[in-house]
Amino acid sequence: MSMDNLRALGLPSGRDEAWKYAARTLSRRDWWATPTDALSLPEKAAIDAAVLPVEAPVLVFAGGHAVPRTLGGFGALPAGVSLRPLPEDAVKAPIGNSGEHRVAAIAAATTPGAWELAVAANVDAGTLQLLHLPAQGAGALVLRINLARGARLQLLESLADGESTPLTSSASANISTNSAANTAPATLTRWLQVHLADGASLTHAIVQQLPVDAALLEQLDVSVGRDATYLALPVSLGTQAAHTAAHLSLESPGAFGHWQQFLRVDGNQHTDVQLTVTHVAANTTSTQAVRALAGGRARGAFSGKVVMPPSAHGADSAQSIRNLLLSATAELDTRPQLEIHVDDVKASHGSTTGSLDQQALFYLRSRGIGEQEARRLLMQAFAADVIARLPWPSLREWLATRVLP
Amino acid sequence: MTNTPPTPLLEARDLHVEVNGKPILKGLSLTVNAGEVHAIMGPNGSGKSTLSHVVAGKPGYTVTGGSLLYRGQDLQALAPEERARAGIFLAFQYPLEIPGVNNVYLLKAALNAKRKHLGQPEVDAFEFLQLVRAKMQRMQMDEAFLSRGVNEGFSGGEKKRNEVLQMQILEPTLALLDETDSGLDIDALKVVSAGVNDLRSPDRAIVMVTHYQRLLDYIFPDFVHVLADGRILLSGGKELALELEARGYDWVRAQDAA
Repeated sequence: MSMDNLRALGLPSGRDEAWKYAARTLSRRDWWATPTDALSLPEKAAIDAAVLPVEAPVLVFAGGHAVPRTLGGFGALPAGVSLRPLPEDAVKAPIGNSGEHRVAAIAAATTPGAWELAVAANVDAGTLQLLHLPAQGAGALVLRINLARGARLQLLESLADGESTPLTSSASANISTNSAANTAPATLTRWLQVHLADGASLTHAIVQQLPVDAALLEQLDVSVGRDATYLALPVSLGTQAAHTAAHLSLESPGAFGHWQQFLRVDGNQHTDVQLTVTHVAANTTSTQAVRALAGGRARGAFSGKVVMPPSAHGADSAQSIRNLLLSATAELDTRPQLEIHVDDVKASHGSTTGSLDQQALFYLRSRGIGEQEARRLLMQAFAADVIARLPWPSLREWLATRVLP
Repeated sequence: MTNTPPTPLLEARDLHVEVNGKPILKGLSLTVNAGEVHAIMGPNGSGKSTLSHVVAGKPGYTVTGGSLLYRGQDLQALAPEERARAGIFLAFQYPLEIPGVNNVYLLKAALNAKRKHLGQPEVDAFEFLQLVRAKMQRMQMDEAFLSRGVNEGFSGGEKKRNEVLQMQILEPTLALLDETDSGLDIDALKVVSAGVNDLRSPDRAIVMVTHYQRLLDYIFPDFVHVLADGRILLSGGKELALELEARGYDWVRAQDAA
C-alpha cells in the first residue's frame, strides 16, 4: 500500500475492535510526515538520561536510525550478536483494512530503514540495552529480533526523550544535526518482530518513559519455537497517548510466552494495550499479568485475548490483572477474552480493580510511617510481583525509588 | 508546698466518638498514668475497639465531644504516624496482611521514624538485626518471617506474635492491646503475654482491651474497667475481672441502672 493510501486510511476508529480503547488524541498526531533520510543525533545528555542503570552494552536508535558507535551510539556488540540493516523489500507489513496490523504498516512505510538484531545459535549474549529515542520529534523503528536455536538474550529497551540540540562535530554528508528550535511533542512508531528458534530464550524488558506530551504506536509480533521462552516485561510510564498491539504466537510444543506488565498513568495520560496470545501448538504455556495504576483523569485499558485452536492440546494459560485507582476520575478498563476450541486445556483468568487499601494504609501509619511513604510502599507492593521479574536488581531499585510517586 | 501529680499519659474526659455518623463512645472518662496496666473489659459492641482505634488515630473515628489527651496534648491534632512516633502503639485485633511490603523493612522504617522524631540517628543495620533476632527468639518466631511480606500467610497466632514483636522493638510509651488474646491457643497466649510483660515499666502504660478474663491470668492489671454502652460503668482492681467472669456483664448494667 502506498504511503498516500495509508495516510488516507488514517488510524482506525473506535469501531475497530483493536482500537476500541485507544486514545482518540492519537489520530490528531501526524504519523506520516516523519523522518528524513538524515540521521539526526540526539544530544549526549539525552542519551545519557535514557540509559538505564544496568551494566550492559548499549545500542542507540535515534528516530529509526541506528546511531553508530563513532557518533555516540556506544557499545561493541558481544560475540555472536549482530546488527545489520535489512533490505527494503525484506520488510513487508501485513496490511488490511483491519486495524490489528496498522501500526506495522505505518512503521514500515515511514521508517528510514529496517534492522535485524540476531543472536547466533547457542550463544548466551547476556544483557543488551537498546535505547530508542525520537529524533526531531519523530521516529519509526522497524526491528527484527532473531534468536537462533538455543540462543539467549536479555534485552532491555529504554524509550525516552531524545530531544536534541545541534551537534558541533563534523559528520558525514547524510548526517545532519537537530535544531534546538524543535519542540514539537514526540511521536514514535515501533514495529518489532521477534523470532525465537527452538530452545531460545528472550527476556524483553521495555521501559517506556517518554515525555507526557509524546505519543507512541507500538506493535510486537512474536513467534516462539519449540521449548523456547519469551518473557515480555513492559514498564509503561510515559506518553500522553500510547497504543500497543502485541501478538504472541506459541508455534511449537513446549513454547512459553509470558507478558508481565507494569503500567502507570496519571494526569491526562491514556494508554491501551491489546495483547493476543495464540497457542498454535500443543503443550504450550502462557501467562499474562498486568499491574496498572491510574491517577488524575488518566485512562488505561488492557485487553488480553487468549486463543486456543483445536491444535492446542494440553495448552495452559493463566491471566491475572490488577488495577489500582488512585483517584475517582481515573479509569482502567480490563477485557479478558478466551477463545477456546479444544477440550484438554487449562485457562484461568482473574481481574480486580480497587483503590488503595485504607486499612493497610492505617496499619502502616500506626507504625510511624508517614502517609506519603505509606502510600508509596503500598503502590510498590501492588506492583511487586511484576517488578520482581525484572532480572536486574539495580533496575528494580531504580524503579522503586524513582518511578513510583 | 503541694505535690502536683504528674501529667497522665492518657486522659479521656467525657469522650464522645462517632464512627460513620453513629455514636459509639458516649461520655467515656479514663485516666492512665505511667507505670500502670489497665484492662478494659466489656461485652461485644460496647466500644472497646473504638477506644483503642480513636487513640491510635484511625480515620473515620470522629471525636464529637469531650477531650482526649496524651501527655496533656490534644490527640486530635496529631496524624496516626505522629502519634506512633510520640510513643503510642496499637496492637491490632486483626493485623493486616500486606504482601509486597517486607516485614523487616517495616520494622526498620518504623523504628527509624521514631528515632528521627526523637532526634536520634538511624539505627545501625547490624545492631538492628541483632536486636530483631533477640526479640524474635523471645517471641519464639522463625527468622524466616523477616523476609516475608508483613503478616503474609501468617496464622492468627503468628500475627499476634508479630504485633508484640513490633511493640518490643518500638518500645512504646503507651501500648494499646486490642483483643490480643483472641484466636490464641494456650501456648501462644503464654508467649504473647510474656512478651507484653517484658514491657511493664514505670515509664510506660499498657491498656488491654479484652472480652475474656483469660488474658488477665497472664498479664496482671492494676485496674479493671467495665465498658458498656459507650461509657465506663465500673472500675476496680484485678478482682473485678473475676467477678465479671462469674456474674457476667449484665450484672454491671443492672447495678449502673440502679
